[in-house]
Amino acid sequence: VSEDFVTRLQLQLREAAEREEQRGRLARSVRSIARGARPVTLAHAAAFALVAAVLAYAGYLATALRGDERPAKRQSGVVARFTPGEALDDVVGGFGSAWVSDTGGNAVLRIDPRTHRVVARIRVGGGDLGLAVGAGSLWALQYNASGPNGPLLRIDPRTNRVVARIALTMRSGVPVAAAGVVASHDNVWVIGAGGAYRLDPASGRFTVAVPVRVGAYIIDSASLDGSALWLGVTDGRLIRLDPRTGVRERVLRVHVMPITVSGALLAVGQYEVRRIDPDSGRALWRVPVGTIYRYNRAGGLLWVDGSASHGPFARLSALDPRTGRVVAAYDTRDFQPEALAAVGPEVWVALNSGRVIVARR
Amino acid sequence: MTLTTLSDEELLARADPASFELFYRHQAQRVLAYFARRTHEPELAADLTAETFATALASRRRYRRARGPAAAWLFGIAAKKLADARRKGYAESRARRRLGMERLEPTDEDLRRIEQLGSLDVASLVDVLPPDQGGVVRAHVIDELGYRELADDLHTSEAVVRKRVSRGLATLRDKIGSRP
Repeated sequence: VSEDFVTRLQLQLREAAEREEQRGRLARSVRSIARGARPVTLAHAAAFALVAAVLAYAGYLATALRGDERPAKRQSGVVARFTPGEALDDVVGGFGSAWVSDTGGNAVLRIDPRTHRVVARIRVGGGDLGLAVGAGSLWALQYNASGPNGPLLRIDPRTNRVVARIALTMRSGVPVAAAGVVASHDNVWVIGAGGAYRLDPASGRFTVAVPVRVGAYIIDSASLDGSALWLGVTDGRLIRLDPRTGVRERVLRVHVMPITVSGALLAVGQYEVRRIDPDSGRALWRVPVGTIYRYNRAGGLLWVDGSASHGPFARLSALDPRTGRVVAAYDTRDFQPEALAAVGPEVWVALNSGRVIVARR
Repeated sequence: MTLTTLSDEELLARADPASFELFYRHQAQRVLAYFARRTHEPELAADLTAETFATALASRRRYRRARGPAAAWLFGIAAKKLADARRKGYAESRARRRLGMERLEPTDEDLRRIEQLGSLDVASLVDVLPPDQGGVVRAHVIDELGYRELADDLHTSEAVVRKRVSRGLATLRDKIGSRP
């Protein structure tokens, strides 16, 4: 039954298993050198020199795979990589810091972007977290594997403490089905598969509910800035809402995920980025960027992880939102990111391995 | 000993790619059917199947035979993936991305076949079985619980559970076979 899919998946898994095996050999080679393996006779010397050269290269590759704790001195490209946690899930920048959710450590980490040191470790309980910065706080939505998501945590950046655990219900008691949280200067919205819900930051209550008729489809993406909340629906609709009132202002047919960057409405598909005319929905330009896994705005640019066309490692590309020109592209020599975000002038990439990669244009 | 004579537990315990590939061949259809029945969305079932095996490949060194059969371990991963998908509304791709695996696009024919896998309503058939058989068949076949786990739950022997499941499945085979 379904041999084609099953066979293709088998081939993919075989290739992945072979890559894993090679990486294991590499790591074992490097460990044996670290333990001080030496040539015991002169006869071995020549062979050892050759082996050492090969292993030195292997060591270089293994370091790339494992991650290098030392911040690099480069001014652009991948400028640092370090390991602040066990399994990272999300990253955002705000209040002069980077904030990283560490699923493995059940904590939100506050990291100094200059020293890369963890300056606060905020315990939040188990589960994955979605993070957003806005309205003077850090917001963390707790994902639960065995029930509805929530609560929404409010973290005070002055004290690094959780100051509110907000239940996901409207005033009427109707539950808010949440899949993510987005925030801007004075707006906080929780997005669910079938609607969007505005939280009043002052009262800590949900005051606006915007149900979206999705049928068998779902809302799978959202982008918020000062002037608009855009919702992407898997049936192809791109819905613009007033971020204060939730009033529906426009519906486009675009079939991709929205993000606004420096005033430009961009649409991110699986293999390409487009700039969309917000009035007509027409594509102003299209740029292929490999297979896109993660994306975010930083420093006035759109950063995407378009990995697959360049092998298993993540490749970060930065696009000018006005022209679509790729103004920077960096190989990270690491596996694909869980999330990327602007932290000051840098792009921080959080990986499930617990590592962070920092890139700068 | 050739690989084909090894049990799933032995295959999973070996680190070489060929062993994992055989383990995959043994379990792929079951996992695909598991997701097809529960999601009723062939494309989602395909994505979840790929993600489950990618996770199994990446974490197979954590499998311990003492904790139960390899299939139970695999279906434990599958159940977690399903719960995640229901929570988020889509199948995660974390393990595939970590292994550098691109998303596989199922063909129309793939989707049709996966849909067929999910259309067999085993759950409703189980309802016609005597309660002592229906309960264990549901738990073993649909919920993927092992004989030992079931025996512990029911405070009976593994042999009794095996017998009940066997009789229940025999009844089901008759019923499915008698369908037009």
